[in-house]
This record gives sequence, C-alpha cells and structure tokens, in this order.
Amino acid sequence: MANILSVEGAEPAAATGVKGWFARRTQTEGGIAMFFVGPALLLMVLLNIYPILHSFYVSVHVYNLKRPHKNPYVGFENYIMFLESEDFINAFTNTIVFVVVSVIAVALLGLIFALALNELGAGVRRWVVPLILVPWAVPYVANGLIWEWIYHSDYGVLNGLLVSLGVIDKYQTWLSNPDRALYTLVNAFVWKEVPLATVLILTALQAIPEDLYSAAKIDQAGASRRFFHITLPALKLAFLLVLVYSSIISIKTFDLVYILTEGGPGDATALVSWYTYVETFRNLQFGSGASISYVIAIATFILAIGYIKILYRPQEG
Amino acid sequence: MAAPSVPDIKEIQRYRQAAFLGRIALYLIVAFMLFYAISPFYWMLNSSLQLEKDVVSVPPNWVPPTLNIGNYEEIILRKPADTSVAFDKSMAGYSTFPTADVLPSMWNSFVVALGVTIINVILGCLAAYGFARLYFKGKQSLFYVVLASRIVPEVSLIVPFYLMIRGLGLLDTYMGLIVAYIPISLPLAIFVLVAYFETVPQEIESAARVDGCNRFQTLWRVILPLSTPAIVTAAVFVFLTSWNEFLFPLVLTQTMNTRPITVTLLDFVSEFSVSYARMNAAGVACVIIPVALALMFQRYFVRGLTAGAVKG
Repeated sequence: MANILSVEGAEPAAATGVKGWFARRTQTEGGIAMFFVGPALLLMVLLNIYPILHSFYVSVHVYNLKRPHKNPYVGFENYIMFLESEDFINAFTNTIVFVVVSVIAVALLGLIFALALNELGAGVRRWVVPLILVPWAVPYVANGLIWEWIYHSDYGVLNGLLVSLGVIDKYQTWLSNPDRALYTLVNAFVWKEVPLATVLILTALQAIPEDLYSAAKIDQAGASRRFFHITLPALKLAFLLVLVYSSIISIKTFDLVYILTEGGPGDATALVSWYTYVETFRNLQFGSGASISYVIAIATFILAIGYIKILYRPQEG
Repeated sequence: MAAPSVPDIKEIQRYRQAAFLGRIALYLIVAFMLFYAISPFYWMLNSSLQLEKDVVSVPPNWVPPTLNIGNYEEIILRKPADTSVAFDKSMAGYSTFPTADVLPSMWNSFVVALGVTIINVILGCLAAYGFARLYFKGKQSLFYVVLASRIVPEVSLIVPFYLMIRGLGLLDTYMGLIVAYIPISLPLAIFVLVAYFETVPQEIESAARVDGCNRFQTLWRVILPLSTPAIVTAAVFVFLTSWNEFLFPLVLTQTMNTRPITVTLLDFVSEFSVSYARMNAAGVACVIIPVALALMFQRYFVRGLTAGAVKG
C-alpha cells in the first residue's frame, strides 16, 4: 500500500518532464485525439485558414502592384466599388446562369444515368461504369483542349457531325458566338462532373434494401409510387452531396474559361472567378480581387447551408 | 368469394411489350451515356494520330486516313516537325514550337502528385480516426470548418500563397507545389475516410483494445486493413486533384524543373504556333495517367464512396 501511495505522490513532479507531459496528455480521449487530428488540423490552419485571413486583410486595403509601397486601409471600399461595377454585375449574372444550368444538368443526368446503370445486369455494369467514369479523371485544362477542338468553327467535329446529319447546312461558330459560348462552357463542365454524380447516386441506389421494394409490391404500390416513396428518399444524401459539390465547383470554375474563352466573346463568359483573376493579375488590383473572392465564398457558403437545411433532416438526431 | 383474377393472354402480351420497350429505352440510354463519355476522347486520339493536313480536312476524317505517330515523336523526342504541311511553315513562331517538355513535365506532375498523395493519405487516416472514433471538444464544428475552408475560390488564395511560398524560399520547387496542394485535397480525403471508418463495427475495435492495443495500433491493425476501398478512393482522389491542378502551378512554377503537364499544355494551345494534331497528342499525354488510374482503381470507388453517399 505504501508503495502505491508513494508512486501516486510522485506523479505531479514527473508531469513537468517530457515523458510526464506525454503521459498526462494521453490520459484523456481529447488529449489522444489531438495526436490524431492535430497534424492535419495544423496544416489546414497554416495552409488554408491563414491565407484566407491574410486575403481578408488584403481585401480591406488598396493593394496595387504598380504602387507596391502604398497600401492604405480603406475599409470596405473595395467591396462597395466592385459591387457597383457593371463588369461584376455581368459576371455575377453569367455565373448564376452557369451554375444553375450546370447543377441541374449534372443532377438530372446523374440521376438518369444512375437509374439506367442500376437496371443493368451486374456483369454489363462492371464494364460500363469504368468507361463513363473516365471524363471525371481528366484535368480541366485537357477538358478545355478537347472541347475547344470539338467546337472549332473551321475544323471542329461538332460542325462536321451536325452537317453530315443534316441538322445544319454550314459550319457554325460556337465558342465565339455570344449566345452559345456560355452553354458550350456548361457542356464541358457537365461532361466532367456527371460521372462522379452518377457514381454517388448509383452507390446510394445499390444500398437500398431489396426487401423494401418487395414489401411495396405486396402492398400493391405501383412503379411510380415505389420510385417517389422509396427510391427518391433514399437518394437524399447522395443528392445533397452532388448539389453541394457541383455548386461549389461550378462557382469556382476558372480553368475552363481560361482555356476555352478567356471570358469572351466580349464578356459573355466572364464568370466571377475569371473576373477576380482579371482584376487581380491583369489589373493588378489585389485588394479588390480579394474582396470579390470573399463575397463569392460567403455566397457559396450560404448556398451550401441552404441545401443542407432543405434536404438534410437527420432522423436519428 | 371471387377467385384471384387471372391475367388474360392480352394483358400478359401487353406487359411483355412494355418490358421489351423498357429494355430498348434502357439500352438507348446506356448507349448514349457511353457515347457522351467516350467520344470526346476518341476524337482527341483520332486527331492526334493524323497528319496535320488530314486533321484540318472538311468534312473531318472519322478515322485516320494514314496512321501517323509522328506527332507523338515530335512532342516527346523533339524530332523534326511534320514537313508535309506548307501551312505550318509559313506560320510565325513555328520554329520555336515547344517540344520535348512533355515527358519532363509529366514526371513533375507525377512526383508532386505522389508526394501529396502519401502525405494526405497518412494525415487523412489519422485525422479521420480522430473524427470518427474519439470524443473531443468542438469536434463537430472543427470538422465543418475543415470541409468549409475549401469554399474560398483558389483565385483569392493564390496571392497569399505566392507570398508565403516565396517567403519560405520554395518557389519553383517540388516542395512548394506539394505544400500548396496539400490543403486542396486533404478535406476531401478526410471526408471519405471518416464516412468509411464510421461503418467499421465498434465491437471489433473494442476487442482489439481489450487485447491491449493502444489507439495507434487499433487504427493500424484493425481499422486500416478493413478500409482498403476508402483508402484507395481517397488516394486516387488526392492524386487526381493534384495532377489536375492548374492555377497554382501556373503562378508557383517558373521553369521546366517543376512545371507540371497541365501548364505545359498551354504551350500547345497558344495562338501563334497551333498544330492541331500535336495539340491533341499533347492532350493525350496529359490525360493518359489520370485515365489509367481511374480505370485501374474504379472498382474500389463504389464501395469507398458508399458510406459517404448513404450515411453521411
């Protein structure tokens, strides 16, 4: 007994040493957790949160590389300035059209493709899924290159195909046509993002227990009722992921614009990220560029919360 | 009491017809799906295997009239240019056509992407275990902060990053790119892994703990061996995200020592030295490794993503 007591008595002294610190840390679950979560968290703070905060600092100053030593604090002037500028409002409108059309197309095509794949026999599906997944793996830069060549107004295969099918009688412009350019971007975006959406929805479909359908059939529920009462509710979370993910990605779309249109013709395809890039790297207005990004980020965040509020109601708390 | 109604012949026929039409519609959708996904690749490959004069023909050649691998030789081995085309020679800047940067920049892309993958999978597994299995204060909100931090557009992070990387003396180094790429894909890796770890039964872990494993040993010996699909999925996601990155390397690299293939590709799209055949060959070089990876490992994805898509 005396031995045990003396050991306990010695502990506070040992706790000051390195070994003691470690021992004390690993006493509690929260302490242990820091060893697991800590490294990743530290890197995320250093490499992500810090730049975000730094960029907020930049956004309330005038940062112009042409005058590198004058960076006066201007409060929210940068924000007010770009929110009132016509170029931004145009970019904002373009982005809304781009995001809405893209996200709806991705979710809808993803659903149709996933439902079709789910109906296929497992043997065929094993061959089809990898093939349709391929566009997802491709860098946006290469994606842009591929579609630029397909859309080419003089030699493009889209024109070639449409002419030989008799849909159009002479070659058309696509990327340099202000009415079409935005939708050609949408198509390139959707082409890359649909595969992942399809796979996400397909995994959710395959996780629905077969018994549910059998039970519904016994209860004489028709195909449409089975679809709306069993299939769709089971897909909620997958849909949430698809919507949030493709919204975030589409709002940030930059590489495609850079390769395919550079915002043109005119400013028909200037999306907000492209506008930010031009403001930052071409006009060298770092402060104003950073302030735009903040507004985009906040808008995206609100959108994501909105989706979660609408679609995600946890049953078990 | 009425006997259960027996469907008559006509009803059975109608049912069979509907099923048959449904089958046709299904195969049409699948055929469209495959065409939609694959045909752009076919077109790039097809164009990359033609002579320049064939590439620009109207109507287009659906298959190469003469199979020509010269474009690949040119972009990879810096062989003399395709001399069959007078049109090319007259073009300004033709003699300075960028070649031979393709293989080195593919190597750069590979090294950086592999580095990020190793780091992020290790960090991701550790963090995911913490989030999935351990209790600590503010866990939920920390998890959301990690996920939400990716919402800020890269365009706005590039300036602080440039200053930071330059301050560390890492401009134009592999390490600089790796540092810049880590936070881009780490949240996604953690998300996929957390969702999967949560599906590993708690009892297995408790048994290991009773047998004297500490937390690290439990993760290493029990959770990880059961989580191969999620680990492979996370690794492939991280690798592809890093390989595909464009804006960061555009700003953070200066020479061929580190420039990745996505940036090198720009040289082939520039307006003054366009050769459409070589542009497509370079495109093939840029996509070949991501596509091969996706095809090789896709069988893990469905299982690796199920936890995320079903349970959250």
